Amino acid sequence: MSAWTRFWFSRAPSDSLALVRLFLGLSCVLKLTGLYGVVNRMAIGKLAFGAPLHRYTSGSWRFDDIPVPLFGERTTALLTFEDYQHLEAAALVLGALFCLGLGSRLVGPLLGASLLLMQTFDQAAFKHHLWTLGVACLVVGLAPCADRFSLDALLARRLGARFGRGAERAGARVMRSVLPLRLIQTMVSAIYLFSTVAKLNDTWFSGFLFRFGLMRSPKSEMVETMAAGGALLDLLWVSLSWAALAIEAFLVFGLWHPRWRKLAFATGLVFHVSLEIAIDVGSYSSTMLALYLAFAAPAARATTVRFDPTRAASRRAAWLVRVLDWGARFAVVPGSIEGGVLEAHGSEGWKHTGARAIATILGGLPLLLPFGLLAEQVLIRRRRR
Amino acid sequence: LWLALLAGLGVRGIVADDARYAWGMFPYILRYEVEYRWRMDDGGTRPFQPGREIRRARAVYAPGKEHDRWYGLGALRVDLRAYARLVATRARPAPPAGARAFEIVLTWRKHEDGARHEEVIAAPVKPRAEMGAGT
Repeated sequence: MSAWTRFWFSRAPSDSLALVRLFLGLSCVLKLTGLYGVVNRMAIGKLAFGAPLHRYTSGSWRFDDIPVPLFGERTTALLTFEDYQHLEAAALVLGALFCLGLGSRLVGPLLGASLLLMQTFDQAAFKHHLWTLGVACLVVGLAPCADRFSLDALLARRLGARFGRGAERAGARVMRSVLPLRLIQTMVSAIYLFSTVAKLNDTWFSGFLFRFGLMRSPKSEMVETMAAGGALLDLLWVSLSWAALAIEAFLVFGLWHPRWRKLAFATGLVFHVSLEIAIDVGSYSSTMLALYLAFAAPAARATTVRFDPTRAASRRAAWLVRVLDWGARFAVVPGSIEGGVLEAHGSEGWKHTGARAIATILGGLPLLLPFGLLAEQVLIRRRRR
Repeated sequence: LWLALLAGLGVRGIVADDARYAWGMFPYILRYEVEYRWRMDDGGTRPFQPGREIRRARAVYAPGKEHDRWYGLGALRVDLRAYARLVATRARPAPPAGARAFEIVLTWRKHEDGARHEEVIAAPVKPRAEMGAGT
């Protein structure tokens, strides 16, 4: 098999795709109920929740009752206001089902189609984040994405056990084509690539966009106080612009390279959380973070975490790993350990003990990933000395 | 095919200066003003004031005030061409007698202190015989 064919069509555990499905569904629900950018919208006094929110029909550009075509060519609109609102409500329900993983093979394509159809309402309905979310849901929804972390998988196991079939597969890894993951991965890189290229202009370099965006909002007083003066403020806008450009350029490639991947995850996490706090970017941040999971090595239970059942500290640490192991990367088992509270054993034969084991484990827990990176760096520096 | 689609969308966005569907996220803010007029057969112009049709879209189409646009100049041109065609071809209210085209004078700049540019977007008026009773 050629490298090209292997890249697109080899088989891999389905865990990553299942996680992408779960978080895309969640992103959809958060978007359509208004539970996004909470800090930013609280600051500018535009916080509103509803189910569904119907935000874009109230702010539509439609010329009164005259349909305005999306690309200026069609003479009739595909959707009425009522259609749009029904579609939005349907997308909310479908998003929740997609997150839970119930009827995913039907729900996924319907959700993707609903989100994309909403974009055809009129020219104002287009939003980068909804477009990205729609395409991603369609790609993931058309693939078998509910092998894990889903009610579909749970029901299949229960029914299988009841009728004596498939019970042995409970919790087992399912191998699937890697194609949907590759489609998502290339889309993520394309998004960052074109976003970076678009910013290569004097307006962006001058920091004008940040000055314009933040200084016109009610947060401007706070920002001015923080920056304490015009010159410092200008430096802040220019620095933010270059930092955003550098981060997006790094993420085009950083997520692909195993050596840089963890740093890229952490950088992207900080970048999107900052965006979520500073600017109203809709579901963009939550969608992109969900799509990052396509790059997470599908290695469910590939690392064994051993704990000493006779020691309370070791038992507590093992409990914490089980609770925070949302990616199901660790098999936590009792056994004898050489030192410290936990040991990490890789399927390739490596063994980490003491602080090295803790760093490895932290790096595999989504919530504690930054601490894992930090601990790894500290250990590397110590070894160099 | 997938890679070609992604590349095609992105490149189209750059070439057309239209960030929509192209992930060209917010490279600059376009500041612009619009004025509307009829171009008459004798070469003269007559001003046009939009009516109720833009009541939901004043943030984009209201004349005589500056607006912002985030998706690029190409995207704005698409929207204005759509409005020009709509006004030029609708039967009620009918274009004035002797009108040859409907024109939008677009003045734009990319920087707060950037150079101002002016261009005219025009849509030919349909002959009266071709206009139906509706829109």
